[in-house]
Amino acid sequence: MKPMDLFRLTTWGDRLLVVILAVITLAAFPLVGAGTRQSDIVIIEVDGKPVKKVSLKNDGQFTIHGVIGDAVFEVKEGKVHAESAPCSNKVCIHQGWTNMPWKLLVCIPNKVVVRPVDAGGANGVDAVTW
Amino acid sequence: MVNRAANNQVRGISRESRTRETVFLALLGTFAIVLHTVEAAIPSPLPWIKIGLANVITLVTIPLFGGGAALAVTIVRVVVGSMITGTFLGPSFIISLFAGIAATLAMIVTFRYFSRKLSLVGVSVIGAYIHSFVQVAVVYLLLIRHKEIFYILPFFLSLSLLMGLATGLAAILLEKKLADVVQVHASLGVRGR
Repeated sequence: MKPMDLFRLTTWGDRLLVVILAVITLAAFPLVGAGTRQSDIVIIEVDGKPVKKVSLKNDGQFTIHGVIGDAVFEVKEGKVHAESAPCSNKVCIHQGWTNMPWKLLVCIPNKVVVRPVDAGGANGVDAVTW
Repeated sequence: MVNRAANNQVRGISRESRTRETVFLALLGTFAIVLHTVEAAIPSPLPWIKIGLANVITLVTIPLFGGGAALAVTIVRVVVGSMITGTFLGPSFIISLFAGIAATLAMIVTFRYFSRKLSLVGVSVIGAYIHSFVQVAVVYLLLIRHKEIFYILPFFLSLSLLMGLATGLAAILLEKKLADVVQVHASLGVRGR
């Protein structure tokens, strides 16, 4: 049986329903990130190696010695952002503030990554199934 | 039962047909239990992610024997199937039971009111969505009291769409074959085209 034969088994109502549900479901995906638990610790990696752990509970600034120069990050109200960077395109600065594990601040030329970790630990277990 | 018997008289279904129906329902229940058990043996990245093979049987039961029969097949399948896999009365049994009943009810309603527009594929997709949603809701109520678990829904529901499509297509093909064999489709309304 060809795929086309299977398609012909469905009605227009089916196809409409599937398209509507697909659109709604895909539209709901951005909500996923918005709901994940906020982290209160960031790990800073340089060239893939973790070099510093900073709490987001205390406001302040810290400097990271990257591959091509020093980058300055600022912590304020539980979030972190890049204040200055030695690279030319400043992507990490434009990324803005973060405290979500899914939103990393990345400076590729400088090989610096600021990674918010989950409050329960990076590999915390939420539930166990039977 | 009296009502049912009278109903059958009106529908012109004889005692012999009743016996036929009972035997067929028992067979459908058995198929559902087997599929449920086989499916439990299929490896899956997450324990909640399943194809929903057994739902094919519930789907074909709705047009062939009506909503009550489909509900019975689902409940028998979940209870006996969980006894075989050893999860009876465990959390996954409770999740399966509630989600299975809710999905079956949703599919019965969808079939009753939209069978002119939707084939069993549409009915199946609706059932798959309700199944995923109720699963997560039951997990929230019984196991994990964190609202965060609802954020897994878009991921689950997109899988539901694919699995619902697959099982729906399988159900259409199976129903075409079974309708000839069962021969009780008189007065049972429109089937998926």
